[in-house]
Amino acid sequence: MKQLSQRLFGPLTLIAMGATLALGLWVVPPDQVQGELGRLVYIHPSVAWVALYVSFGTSAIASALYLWKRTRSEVMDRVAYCAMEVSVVFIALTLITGSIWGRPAWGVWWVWDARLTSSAILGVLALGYLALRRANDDEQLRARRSAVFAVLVAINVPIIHFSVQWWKTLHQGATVFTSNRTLLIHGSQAWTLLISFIAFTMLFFWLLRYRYRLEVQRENLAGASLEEALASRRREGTQ
Amino acid sequence: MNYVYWGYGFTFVGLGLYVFSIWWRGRRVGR
Repeated sequence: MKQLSQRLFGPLTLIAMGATLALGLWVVPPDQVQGELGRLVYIHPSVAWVALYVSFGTSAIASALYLWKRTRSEVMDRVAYCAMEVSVVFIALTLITGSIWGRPAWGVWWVWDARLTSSAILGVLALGYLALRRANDDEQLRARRSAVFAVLVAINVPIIHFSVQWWKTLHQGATVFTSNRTLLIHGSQAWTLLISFIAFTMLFFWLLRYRYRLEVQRENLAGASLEEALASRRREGTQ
Repeated sequence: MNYVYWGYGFTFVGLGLYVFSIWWRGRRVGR
């Protein structure tokens, strides 16, 4: 049963992504206010949702679990690293799609307002995390440093979330649920938005699974190379 | 509509390239 669900996860993700593409681009009618431009709502918010909450959240939680002695394991370290790498991709896409939407909607590609600036800072910090992972340290020390960094960087996520409320920004406020929990989007637009959120979330877990597998293979290869080098030195010593 | 296609294009092509990078790196470590 577990194998069947694992096998079906990839095709289901592809179907959900295909449905998002087809519904968003061609099936759902244009928005009443933004016209065709409103179709970007099926891409930008769902990509940002994965970037900020799902992937970055996964990395921060895995890092916190690594720092806690009772749950410390290599698995948590790997999950934190792999989720952060996927997060960088999604943060980049969030900034790019936001910029593409901003040009026709606001008249500018970029503006240094609170939401955009805090999101860009998160991107830079996520890249910093990846740079930290490349430091040639002891593995445990590297894992601990990275975990502390990821947990500290996660403070930026609520800042991004509430930035549209705390500061006066060009970026619009809550679209799906307002602060008084009223749904502002209806019908086929609401369904397509929901499908896009599910599709991109599934895609994240699918990417994480394969990225994790790659990391295990890389570690195994590095371990095998080290063993081989040690054996070679031993042979040299006995000659 | 051009902006919409650019937005969708960047998203799907970007994600496609990332999938390709995972596959490529996997091939290099001997999958």
